[in-house]
Amino acid sequence: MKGYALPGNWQAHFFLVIGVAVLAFPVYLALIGSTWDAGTIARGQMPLYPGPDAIANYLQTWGSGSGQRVMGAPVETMMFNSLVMALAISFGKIAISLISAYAVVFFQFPCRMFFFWMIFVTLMLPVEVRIIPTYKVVSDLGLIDSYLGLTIPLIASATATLLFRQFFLTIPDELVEAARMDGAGPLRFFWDTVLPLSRTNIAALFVIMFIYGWNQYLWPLLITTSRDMGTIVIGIVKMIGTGDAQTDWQIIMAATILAMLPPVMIVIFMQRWFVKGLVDADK
Amino acid sequence: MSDAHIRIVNIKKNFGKVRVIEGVNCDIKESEFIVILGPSGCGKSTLLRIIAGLETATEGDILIGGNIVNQVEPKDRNIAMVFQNYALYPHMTVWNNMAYGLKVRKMPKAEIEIRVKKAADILGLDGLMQRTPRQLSGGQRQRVAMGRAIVRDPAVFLFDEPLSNLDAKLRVQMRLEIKKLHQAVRTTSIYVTHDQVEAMTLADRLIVMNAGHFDHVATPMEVYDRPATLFVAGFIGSPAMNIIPMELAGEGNAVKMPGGPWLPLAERLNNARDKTVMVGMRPENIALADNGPGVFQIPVDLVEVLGADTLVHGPLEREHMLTIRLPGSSQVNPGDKLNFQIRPERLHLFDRETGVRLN
Repeated sequence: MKGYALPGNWQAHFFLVIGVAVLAFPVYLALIGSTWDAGTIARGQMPLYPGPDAIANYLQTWGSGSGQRVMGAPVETMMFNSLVMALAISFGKIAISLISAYAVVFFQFPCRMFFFWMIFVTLMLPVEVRIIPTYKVVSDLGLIDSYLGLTIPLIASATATLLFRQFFLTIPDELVEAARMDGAGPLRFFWDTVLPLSRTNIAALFVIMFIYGWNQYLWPLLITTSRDMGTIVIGIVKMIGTGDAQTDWQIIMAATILAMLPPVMIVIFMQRWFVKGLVDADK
Repeated sequence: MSDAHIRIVNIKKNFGKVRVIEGVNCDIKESEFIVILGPSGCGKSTLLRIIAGLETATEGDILIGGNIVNQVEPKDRNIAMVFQNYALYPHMTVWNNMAYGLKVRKMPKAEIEIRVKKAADILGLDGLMQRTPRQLSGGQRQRVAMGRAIVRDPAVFLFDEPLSNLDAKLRVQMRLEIKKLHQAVRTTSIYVTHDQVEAMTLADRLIVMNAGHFDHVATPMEVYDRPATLFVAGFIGSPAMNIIPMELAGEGNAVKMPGGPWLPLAERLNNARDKTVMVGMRPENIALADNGPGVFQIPVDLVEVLGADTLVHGPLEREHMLTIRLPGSSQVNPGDKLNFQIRPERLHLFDRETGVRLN
């Protein structure tokens, strides 16, 4: 890294530490909250150090959730649902976008640019805008409360298609021609050249799409009704009591911490690839 | 090896309304090294791509080994191409880059090993086989690109300005290697370049292309000695030929140098349509002289000492600059007035309108 090894370097650190503290404090609070019993939190006297009930809280959260409540599903189930959804969405998005970008960039066919713009325009129609017609279609297909219904409508992605298109455009024409001379057909070229060259982009996109899928709220809320199909993000919201019901804050905190883990792990493990994919075109 | 003679029959190419190639013809013999030389935009790369099958001609035929290949896919034309930017697969090792075309063609592993090994030996790539292209220098990449062509053992090599991305020193070295390679494998080669030194040194026969036409197709020496058009005359040779419009004598046996003497011609010129003709004089054909007929005087403006040669620049009647190449030992200073002459058979005469050679 380029470093300014000045004596005044502590200033930079000072602001960094403040920034980290501001960002990390709520997370720390959630972590501490998940280690105390309901009463301590409810009285508003929660200390800033870990309490004694961590293991019990996490076991309850994982195994049975906010048990007494009607909709409370175990976090285990909801995490699994979220994982399936996030993985299906990210893999699906990457696969579909790779293929459509490949078609748009490397093939000549009638109305090519028209199709590209059709894909592009969907960027202006986020899930919220088309949610009613999408819901109608999915429910007519009988996909309510299923993984297919949960994931398929979210798989088409203009962003990812656009990203891959931009990357494919940087692949020199001569490389395509060299492959043609070598006798590699379109599929062969895709597998042997385009895919390996795109791997850092795929990795970066996977991280983004996994988090996008994991954090989906509105669509799962509409499409899932049974408690076995709920996702963790929905589950946490549903844990919050309404009216007279008591809210098990320690369970919510524990669920929140658990819900954070998969995206954080993805980011940590994929960080190197992620940064590479964003800054370096790997050519 | 299969019959590798190529015929280019009346090839025309339009991009939309723009005519890039205007009906060119050429027969290329087996194991001949043909260089297509021309300025950028003259259509030379397009022609090469048509031969490769990467582009389709608007009209005309390409024949390889006697078969019309207009509709044949590039991979089935039995040709290999070396690209200007090497076009190596960035994620594959050198070995894989060279072997890829063979793998795609489902050649047995043992055969691939042998061929790649042999090509690596020829090109001195041993020890680099496990590297990826980004770990190679420009010259090494160029060699890998050639290796990829060699392993295929094709009927024809196509080179699309393969040396233009290299620095000057490396270019000279690679030029020699290409020449050596051709002498070793004798594969019919078509080489496109805009560098006249490459063209002169490599070519068995040279095609000088200008604005979609073949201006001159001949051996390098013929092209240099008797350029077919004014364009070729100006394009080949460094420093460039001096080209000056001169008045033709009524009998067609001499031309009048502006402000100078009558220069006698070697032969009587009777096909001139105009009283004024363009006269070309190569800087190296003009020599110092004493007084006599056909001797002209030039005031020296500028002297460039190159070591082996000395280039002298001086005005002719103010409007024309003349460049003269003298031996390196010549003692010439700016301000000198020197007498020169040129042998009549060294004059190149061209029509002023069409640029066609007259003598």
